[in-house]
Amino acid sequence: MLQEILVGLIVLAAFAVCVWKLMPARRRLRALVALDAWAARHAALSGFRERRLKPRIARAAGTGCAGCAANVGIKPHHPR
Amino acid sequence: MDATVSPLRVALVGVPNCGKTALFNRLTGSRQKVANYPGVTVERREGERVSAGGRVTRVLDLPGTYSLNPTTLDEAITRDVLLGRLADAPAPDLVVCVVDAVHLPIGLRLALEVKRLGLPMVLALNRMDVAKRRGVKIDAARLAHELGVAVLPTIAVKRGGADALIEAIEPSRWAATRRLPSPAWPETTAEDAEQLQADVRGILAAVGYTAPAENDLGKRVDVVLLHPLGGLVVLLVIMFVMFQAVFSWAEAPMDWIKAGMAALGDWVGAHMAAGPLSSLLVNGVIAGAGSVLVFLPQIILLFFFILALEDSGYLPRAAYVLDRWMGFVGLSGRAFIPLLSSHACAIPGIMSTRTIPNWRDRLTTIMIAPLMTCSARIPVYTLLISAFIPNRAVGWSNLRGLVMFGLYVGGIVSALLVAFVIKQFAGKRQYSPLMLELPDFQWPHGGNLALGLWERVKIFMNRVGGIILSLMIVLWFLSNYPAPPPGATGPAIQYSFAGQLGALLEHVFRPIGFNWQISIALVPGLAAREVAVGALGTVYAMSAAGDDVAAQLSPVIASGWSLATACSLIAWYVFAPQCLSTLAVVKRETNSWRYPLIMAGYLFALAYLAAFITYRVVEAWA
Amino acid sequence: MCISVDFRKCELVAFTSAAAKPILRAVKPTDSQPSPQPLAELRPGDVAVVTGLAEVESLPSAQDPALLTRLRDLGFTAGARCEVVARMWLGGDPLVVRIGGSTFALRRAEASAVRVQRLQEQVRPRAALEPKDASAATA
Repeated sequence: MLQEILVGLIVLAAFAVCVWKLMPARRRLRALVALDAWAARHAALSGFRERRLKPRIARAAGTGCAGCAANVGIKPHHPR
Repeated sequence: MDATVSPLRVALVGVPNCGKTALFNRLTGSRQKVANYPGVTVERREGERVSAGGRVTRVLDLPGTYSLNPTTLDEAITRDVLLGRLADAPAPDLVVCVVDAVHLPIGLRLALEVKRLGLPMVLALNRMDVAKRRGVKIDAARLAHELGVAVLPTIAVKRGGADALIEAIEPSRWAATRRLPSPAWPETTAEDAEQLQADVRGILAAVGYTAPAENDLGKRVDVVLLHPLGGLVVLLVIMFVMFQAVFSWAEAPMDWIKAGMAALGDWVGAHMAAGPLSSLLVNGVIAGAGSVLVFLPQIILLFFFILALEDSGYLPRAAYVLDRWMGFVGLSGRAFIPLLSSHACAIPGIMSTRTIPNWRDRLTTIMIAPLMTCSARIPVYTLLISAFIPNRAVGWSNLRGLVMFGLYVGGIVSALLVAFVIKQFAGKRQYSPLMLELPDFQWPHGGNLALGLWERVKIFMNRVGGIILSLMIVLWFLSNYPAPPPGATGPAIQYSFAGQLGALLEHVFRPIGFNWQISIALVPGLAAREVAVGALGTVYAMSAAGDDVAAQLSPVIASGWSLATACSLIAWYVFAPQCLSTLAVVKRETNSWRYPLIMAGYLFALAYLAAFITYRVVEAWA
Repeated sequence: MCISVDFRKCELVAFTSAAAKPILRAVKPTDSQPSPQPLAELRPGDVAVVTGLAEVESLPSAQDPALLTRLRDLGFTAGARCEVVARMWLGGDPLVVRIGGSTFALRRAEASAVRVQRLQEQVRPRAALEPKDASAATA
């Protein structure tokens, strides 16, 4: 029984990751902003907001490589 | 808000190839992030530096430009940021003009232009070590006097090489001079340009500038590289060696990883009670994501070559040699570098088409970029080649390596053909200038190479551990449920969601020889090409009857598929746009839905056609 | 401040103090020299001095003022010394030119817009010669 629950949780998490990474950039940005607005109402989350959420929003606001978040970090070719 | 002083905003400006990026890395270390300028698809690289006193400096790496009269979007952004014209990017508080000491004239010209803007400025005289070696003499103190700004010698590639600069841009030094009025920029005339050059020459004479001694290595190498025929031959040889090496040199480490994965799968299966968790781990994670992890050595090798070629300064020379031939199919020589980087991944390749000023050229290049054999196709090709092509020696290479090379060539040839077709339909071609700088030829720098390779490894591991692993887990789930009704025959997977979907899709793909396993693998394979390998791994692992732990994928498909099916799948993968991210990037770069849809349409059509022909031909012949 | 040097003297100077010769001194050509020609006509190994930029009538799109501005920005202004490094077959399109210490590949159309005066000397002397002091180069 425990195994089934664990497996279920893992599968749900994997599904969420898939959805997140395959979402269009704009919708992802909106989701992040909504999350930020929600987190703003809880003072305890301010650390999380500053350290993790805000930089992610800044990055998503202009995704270095559009579309699939799986490719964030890829830079266009720059000679030297 | 915090009560601390707002950070000092520093912008790095310089001509391309002056080592600005290396300096940027030296100043900001790992505290950088990549974003975009609002409304345009120009990359914005910003980093942070915290001084000993806790003061923050924000460093912005502006795109390299030859002049404040822009010819490309990149250069226009640089000018606009310096003028404070961009809404989200106010004019910097301090400008660091990076000048390559070895190529002082052209950098100095830009520095004079930037100085006219009236912003606080500092000059970083970079590559002083190379300059000394080449016999270049520059009186830095006199240069500072002539320009009226501080001149700091830097060696960006050496640790501690930028210390003088770091000290000079200390926020505490510049607090008083901030918040100047926005700089203005008058339009330049021909007389202005001539006067500027005269000023440059005057300063060069005053500082006793001596031209660099001949770069002997560069000169000798250029005799061959810039020769119309020799250059082509060298290019072909390099490509052949590269793709041959990527295939054969990586074999040993790949076998180790494969064996490791198999051993891990056996161990988990033996030590864990049979059940959904065990199946998830063995069939979903290890057989799925593990199958893709196997290809890490090949990725490393491929990027090693690409980065080495980049760093050496060879690529613009190849672009020069190819320019004429590319012109026949309607492409600019400038398209060579984006197309070459598409061999790593079409996404940065498509993004670097921004350096192509002519819109039609750029669009054509974007349209054919996905046909270049990207690194994500390698796992698919390797899997199929190892399973179906015998390991026979041919001359000093072997048959498998040759087939791999042939696939790369096939990708390039098909891209050129498509470009040619586009040219026929597109009408008269507007003149597009070349004006490409050929940087000094040099041995690739080991540190840069290692850093670049490490980045690529991280990206690959992120991909495997992120989207690929997640997709494999979801696929496992869909392949496991619903469970087969009691008394059912055949492998359990056929009754699951995935199995049923596969059976549906099989109708579409049967004419080209794909069975239902392949059909189902192509669906998650849309997210990324190598996912198909993982998906096949999972699907076949689930199909294994009884207690068989995930056997290695390669022998399973070797015995299960016909040669015609394998060849057909290879042909499919040469063309099919099994990469949603690429289409998304095209949409972003072209600002419309039309082009990515056209791209997806023509690529899928070509893929189906090629697979169909291949399947029928090989079936009839074998 | 430009130093005018008779380019015949510049030649002699060139052979005695190879790598130290400053490449960007303004040069006044004497009368018995070949008239200005487009850069596109030069062969690999030729050294020349730029006399100016001219619009190219035969290529209407190459009359683009932005093109001329960019050429000037890259250093193709009167008095600049340049050397042709390589040329493609069938008409020299594109060709490789070294100017101001940097090397560029230009199309024939772009190179046609640059008017130059060929100098008699050929490929620059090898760097094997000892670099002398910069002051020795002053006429």
